[in-house]
Amino acid sequence: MENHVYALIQQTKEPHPDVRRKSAIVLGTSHITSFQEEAIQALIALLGDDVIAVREAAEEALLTIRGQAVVKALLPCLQDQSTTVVNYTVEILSQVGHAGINQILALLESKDHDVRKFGCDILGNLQYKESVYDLIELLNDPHINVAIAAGEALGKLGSPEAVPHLIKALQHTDTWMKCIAAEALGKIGDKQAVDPFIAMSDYEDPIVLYTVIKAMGNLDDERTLPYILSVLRSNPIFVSSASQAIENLVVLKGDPVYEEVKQAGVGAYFIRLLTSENLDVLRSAIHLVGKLQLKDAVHPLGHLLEHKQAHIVEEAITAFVQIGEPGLEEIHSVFEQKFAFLQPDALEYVEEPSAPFTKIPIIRVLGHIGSHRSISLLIKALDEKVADEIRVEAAAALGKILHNALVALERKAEQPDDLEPLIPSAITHLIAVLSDSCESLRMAAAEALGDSGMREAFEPLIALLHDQSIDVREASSIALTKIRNMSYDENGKNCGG
Amino acid sequence: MTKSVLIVDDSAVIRNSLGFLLEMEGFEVQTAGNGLEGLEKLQKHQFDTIIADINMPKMHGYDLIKEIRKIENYKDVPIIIITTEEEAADKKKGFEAGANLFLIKPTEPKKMVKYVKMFLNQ
Repeated sequence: MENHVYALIQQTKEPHPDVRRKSAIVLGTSHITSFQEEAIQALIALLGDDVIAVREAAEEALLTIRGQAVVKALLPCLQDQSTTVVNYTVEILSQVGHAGINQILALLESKDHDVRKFGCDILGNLQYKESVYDLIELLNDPHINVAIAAGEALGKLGSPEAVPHLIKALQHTDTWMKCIAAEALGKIGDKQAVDPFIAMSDYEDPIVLYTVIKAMGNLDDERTLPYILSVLRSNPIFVSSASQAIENLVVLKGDPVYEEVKQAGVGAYFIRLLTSENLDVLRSAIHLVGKLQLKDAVHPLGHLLEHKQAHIVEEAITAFVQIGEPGLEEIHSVFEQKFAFLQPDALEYVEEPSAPFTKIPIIRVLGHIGSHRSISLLIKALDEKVADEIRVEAAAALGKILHNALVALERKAEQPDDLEPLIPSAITHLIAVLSDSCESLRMAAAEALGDSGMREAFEPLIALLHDQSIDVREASSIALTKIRNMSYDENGKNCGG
Repeated sequence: MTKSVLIVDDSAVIRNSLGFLLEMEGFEVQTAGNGLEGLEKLQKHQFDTIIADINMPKMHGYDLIKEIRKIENYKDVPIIIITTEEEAADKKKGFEAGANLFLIKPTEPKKMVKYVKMFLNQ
């Protein structure tokens, strides 16, 4: 073992980066008992390596070894000449510093202001609550960057003891310090901050007011929303922070917040945020235009259906559904324009293999809409030229529509007449894909047919009990049970069980 | 045409507030939390100015700037460093990497906007 560790340490100095990287990986996973100090030093030396993969392997190894020895060996690196080494050191100590917390706390008393700043960063990342009073003291550090780092760390700690001191810091002469204090007060979420926030002058630097408005979204107090809305009405430039604050208030106070925003008549401001590059702002704006049912948002939301982030596409679709009829019309129209490949004679899809993941939410929402056009599009999406990911979602979406139709039948509730002719067609297509080569599709189709409760599916599902895949056989068995329990005849009478 | 700015800083407060201020001045702003994320954004969009911090996880500011200068479209794009590093040696490293301006944090936000405008001849 000793020889093995010694050889690995030597290999960290090899000229070939792959050898250095591998030796770092093995040192990290070897449960070293001998030469531990040497191994840690060798890994620390690799933090300044020219090759990023080597540096990351060394970081990972040090995180795995962890313990007091690692913390002790890393502390001097906070004054290293290399920025790379310093940054890795802060990152590692931010995760394993608990093992040498007293040494980390001692950093706050260093004569070097950079070291004091790093100490604040590390304690904040460790969320070490015992350091709250040390950090409060550093809010008055003569070096402004230390004071700013202390403020940021106090926000991460979330300790209410810091609130009065951070409120005082809102009056600091430095603009960034005010921003950091406001942000920290928002993170702590103590209502004591409401009055000082509201009292902040209208002549305050806009950058500070921007942060204050955003922070107010975390304060569960009856005065916060009226204040945010009044600022927004008089100064729409704050719409991006206001939208994020309102979204946070919804988390704290629930949907009635939307009602209040609706009544304030500020909805139109949120529509212009639908082009924001900031994903947090964009997401909050999408939620707001959907919940406020802003019909003017339909067109800008349409552009988001092509967004590169699938969750944004999904949220835009939800907003469409919430807006109602004009929104749903847009989804259908976008679907038909952008998804022309669903036509059996189109092959563009084959050339665009990376796209399906952003299209899946659209398929899903078609199942939610359940209109005549939706069923028709979903049937097309089952075509074998389409990617399996989409076909699986289409089968599930059809299952949802068929299940809703069944529930409506059971309740004798009315449903659009134009759905009826398409239901047999959907069943036929789902039965057809039970013999498809894609296992997930066979499973999804079996589940959909089970949800439909249609007796026509009984025989094909029995045949599927001999499928080569155990998962498909199981899905088929569950589907058969469902159909037995809820089959209906053409008059809506339950004939199952 | 709207000029675009990329802000690369690991502090969300600085990214967001500075971004807000520049948007108020009519710039289009994108942000990144570290050098690697910044590089990714540069490859998808042509920015007119870059503001970068130095002490960041994953890839620090000096390496980021060196990488940016290797990209053909970014050889002449102004890069402003904002950092707590205030030693002369740090400044030297910044300029050697390819930065055009080196500002010590905390820089007054309005001053930042002034410099961005100056570089873009506005």
